[in-house]
Amino acid sequence: MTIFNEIRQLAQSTSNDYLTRARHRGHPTVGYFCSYVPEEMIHAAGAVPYRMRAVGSEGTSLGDTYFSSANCSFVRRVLDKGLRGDFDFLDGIVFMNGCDHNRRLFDNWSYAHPDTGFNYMLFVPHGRSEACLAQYGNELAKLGRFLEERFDTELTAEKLWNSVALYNRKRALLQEIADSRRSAVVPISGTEFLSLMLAVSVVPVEDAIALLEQALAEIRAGRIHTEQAVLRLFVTGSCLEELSHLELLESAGGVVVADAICLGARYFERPVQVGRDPLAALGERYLRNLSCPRMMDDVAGRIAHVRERVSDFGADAVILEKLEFCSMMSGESYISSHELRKFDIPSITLTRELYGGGVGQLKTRIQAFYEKVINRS
Amino acid sequence: MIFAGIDIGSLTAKAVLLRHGKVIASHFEPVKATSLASADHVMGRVLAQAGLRIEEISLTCSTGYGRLEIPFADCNRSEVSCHGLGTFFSNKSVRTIIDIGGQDCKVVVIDSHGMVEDFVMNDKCAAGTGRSLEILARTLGVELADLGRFALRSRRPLPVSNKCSIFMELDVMQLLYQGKRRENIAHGITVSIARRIASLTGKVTLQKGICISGGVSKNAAVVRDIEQAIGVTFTPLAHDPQLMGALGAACFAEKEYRRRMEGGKS
Amino acid sequence: MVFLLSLSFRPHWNRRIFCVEFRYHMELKPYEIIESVIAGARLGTKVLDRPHLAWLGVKAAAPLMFHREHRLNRASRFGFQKIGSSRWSPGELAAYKHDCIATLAFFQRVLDARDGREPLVWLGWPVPIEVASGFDDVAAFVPEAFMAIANMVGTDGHVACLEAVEREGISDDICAMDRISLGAYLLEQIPTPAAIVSVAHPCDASRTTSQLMEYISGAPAYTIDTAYTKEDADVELYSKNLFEAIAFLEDTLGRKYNWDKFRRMVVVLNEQNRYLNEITHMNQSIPSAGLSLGLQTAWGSKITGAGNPELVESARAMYNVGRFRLRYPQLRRKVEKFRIIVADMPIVFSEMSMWIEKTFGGVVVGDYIGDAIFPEIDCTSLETMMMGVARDRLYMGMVKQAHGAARETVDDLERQIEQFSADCVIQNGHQGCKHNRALQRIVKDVCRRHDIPILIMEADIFDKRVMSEDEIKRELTNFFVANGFAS
Repeated sequence: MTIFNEIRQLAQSTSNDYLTRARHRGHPTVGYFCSYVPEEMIHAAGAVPYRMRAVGSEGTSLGDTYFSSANCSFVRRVLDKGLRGDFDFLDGIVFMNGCDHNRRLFDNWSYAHPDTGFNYMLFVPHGRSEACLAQYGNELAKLGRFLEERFDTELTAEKLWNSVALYNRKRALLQEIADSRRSAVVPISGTEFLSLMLAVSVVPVEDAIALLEQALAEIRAGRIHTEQAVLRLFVTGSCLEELSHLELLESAGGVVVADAICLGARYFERPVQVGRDPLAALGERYLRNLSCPRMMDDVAGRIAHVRERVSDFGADAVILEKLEFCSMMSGESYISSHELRKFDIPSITLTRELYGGGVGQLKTRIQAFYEKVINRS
Repeated sequence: MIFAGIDIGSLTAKAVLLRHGKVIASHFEPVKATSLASADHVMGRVLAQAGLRIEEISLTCSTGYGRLEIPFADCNRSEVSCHGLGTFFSNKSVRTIIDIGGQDCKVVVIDSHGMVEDFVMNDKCAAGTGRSLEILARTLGVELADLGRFALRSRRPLPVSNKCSIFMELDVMQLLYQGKRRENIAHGITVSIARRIASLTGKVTLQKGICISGGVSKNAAVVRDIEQAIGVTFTPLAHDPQLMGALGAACFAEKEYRRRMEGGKS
Repeated sequence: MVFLLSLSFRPHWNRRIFCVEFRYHMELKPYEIIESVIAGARLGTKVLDRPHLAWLGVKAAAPLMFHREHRLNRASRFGFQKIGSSRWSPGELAAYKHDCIATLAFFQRVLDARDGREPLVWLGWPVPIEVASGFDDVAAFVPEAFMAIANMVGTDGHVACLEAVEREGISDDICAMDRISLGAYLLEQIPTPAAIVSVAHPCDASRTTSQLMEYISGAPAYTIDTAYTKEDADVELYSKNLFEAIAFLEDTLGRKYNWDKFRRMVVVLNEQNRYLNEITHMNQSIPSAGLSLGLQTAWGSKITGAGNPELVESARAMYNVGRFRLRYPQLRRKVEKFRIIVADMPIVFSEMSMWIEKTFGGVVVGDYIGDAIFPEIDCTSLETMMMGVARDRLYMGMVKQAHGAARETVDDLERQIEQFSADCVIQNGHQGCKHNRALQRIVKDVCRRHDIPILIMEADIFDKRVMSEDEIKRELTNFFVANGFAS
């Protein structure tokens, strides 16, 4: 049995045996949102970081009693899951002011108080300047003190560096797997890579490393997804966790070879630089890593990254993914599509609801876009 | 050789047969419960028109929302590409197509071979589509076919939102409550749809030689208002504008046949 | 008389009023909106100089203006609403004259900047305008002002701006206020800036629009980051960033900031705030002084003209109206049947509070922007003054509620319900305001706890296409009838 079967199973489940075993060993589970929450700090405090997701969501009916129809389907689905008790195995959640929907998720979660332990809000600046870095450093220090008190532990430099080493190893393995898609023979599809990301962000890092090593061994042994994709795609945008959506993209003839999404390159690109102060190193890496549109002073950097990766991975086109009601991605997709056009890189913005309907129109849009790109070549 | 194009849309099913570059049969009708039933029926009608049997078709291409569910189709293409090639077949000078179908509107820019250069589609909201016109006509208490005639009789369109079909419906109801003339409300509806389409056209670079296709293109008031809203006169088409998707699919069937033949030789 | 005069609010009025053919898009000439505002402000300055005569004129024009917008009043109705829809007293009209003077000065400088007389700086609306207006030879502009002023050419004005953005392919997920300002730029209603100062609060729409504005205009930009909370340390951080923003402008524009002018503006701001604080308290009394519309105007004026002595005159005149009303409460008692909190901004494209007052006797006693309590700014040093300005704008209506945790909104609403003795709450709706829309359950529960009804509408205060004025009025009527405020 290929390791990718287990990975797919993990990707499609809310909880898993790895978490249960870790709990039995005395490691609580702490959920977190967004790519600006340093997992290393949660790990160093003795807990298992769990990336919050809406996988397995049954709808939004409970979430809708708190959020309005103008709020994004991710927060409505996640809150809905929380209110149904799906996350009761958590011992706490670290929220983040990623966007307006997410910051209100913290407010509504705190108000509705499902049985998920503590709620902590990490405030992250919207820029990458020195002043922002200093502010972010203060916030990380506050988070550290909170975790120390909560788990009755001390976040020593040694513990933090140990966690950094483990997470850097995890990043390096993910990077190597991601890089394997540069070649014409693509060993792993975008859907498989997303399931890998979903899986390794909800198991203890030590288990994640073991899973990734097995996956990499399979790839090194000559695994082939496709030998000749009709179109090689680069995907970027806001929250994307639906395997079914990437399957839709790939079943129409494309293969995703690279990305800049939260459950992708934004997670594993650039390791934490080992130095003197672990919190400073974490601050530097997390705030100045590949940014998302919430960061107001890096739109040029984000576009440069897309262009660079499109060229490196031989992508034929860029898919700009946007969840309905995501204001941040609305502006970003406008700027990106205009900039990419200047460099003759075809792109399309796909707006969708998380696990939502409208598949018929999406299929048409995707197929028409592929046909347009193929006509060019 | 005979090539078939079949377009299963959200409201109507269309089919076209091509022989030696000429349309020998065409038909459209409301869709049935399933795409397969629609396809079977509409195909049966064109075959009967042409006096042919299904075995005599060299290749069939499908398009439309039901394109993937037709077992006798040999290939499929998106509606965007099919509308592009179909209108190009109908009039070689066309470079931009505004297609307003039952469930969506699209603007397609094509090159000098009828291939898609750029396109834009409406979002999920149905405002401006055939479906929304149908709902608004019902709200107004007129037959869909009469909506255009009503609108043409008015010189003073009343303000109707173009934001979404629900808002449009609310506006129409409000105007009816106020006792406004139905002609003016109908005109307000067509103007509102025209403004929405004009917004959509702004998202691509329109090329000269603009035509309109799809079921809504048969509504003279909508056509007039779109022409005025974007300041153009539509290029006429040699065939029924509602058949462009099926016609394009038939053209793609022919292309695909040739490609396969060439592939076979090599 | 005012009606006839107000027809000249807009240039080319005859073309608009007497044309019979339908306009598919409102075709705006470059700078037409600002020119209309200048014409209107100039007229207001003259006419309101004789407030009693103006009052008579407004009363005479009311039958043609009050109920809805139509071809005959399209160009002048928004101006009519801004001066109280014939419900204002001569005293309030006299106060508004000073706002007209400030408005005239502000927009005239923008046109001067267009003509190359001085560089223009765009500021995000929560950025203290003092950052740019402290320069002697720099024009400051807040593009978001178009959310209101676009309606000076009729409410099709804001629709024209929104449609320009839609044609450009920018998603309507972004708040309509920001899209109107983007649209105004696309329609050549705003001159290109020499520099931009934007800010990371209060919401996603501001953040993404700042990036869009920078991209579309190509102007160099400085973005102020803001902490999530409003503790002293956060205010200090914001104040430091304001100093840096000024340094950025000095470098970019090659001009020196006039710190004496800044000091003078802060002194004026303090004086204006003292009156606004008093007026807010007056609105809390029973019956209320009924000055919330004036406070809304003051909010807008502060964004575009803080530090302008005319605004102190306006606030003082309004304060005097309030004092008179408190001295003779029986006058307002006749008007006030029930009290309303608008837990939101008011409908921008059509002023509703005067219609509610006239039709149902409901008085809007407070809303997010007309609840102005500001602490005195310490003028001992530049640092303390900048701290005061930073605090002033971080606690300004809409910034206060929209930026930060839910308790900023919830605490404010609870306080308003109690302090203003509200009988009901109305939330107009604002499609782009995701954070506010996300609090509907919490806000409803607050009202339930206080045992007062709440109406949450699905309108968009900036976009009449979402819910028209007539539909909003119908929904308000149903709410008031259902809850026994009207029959």
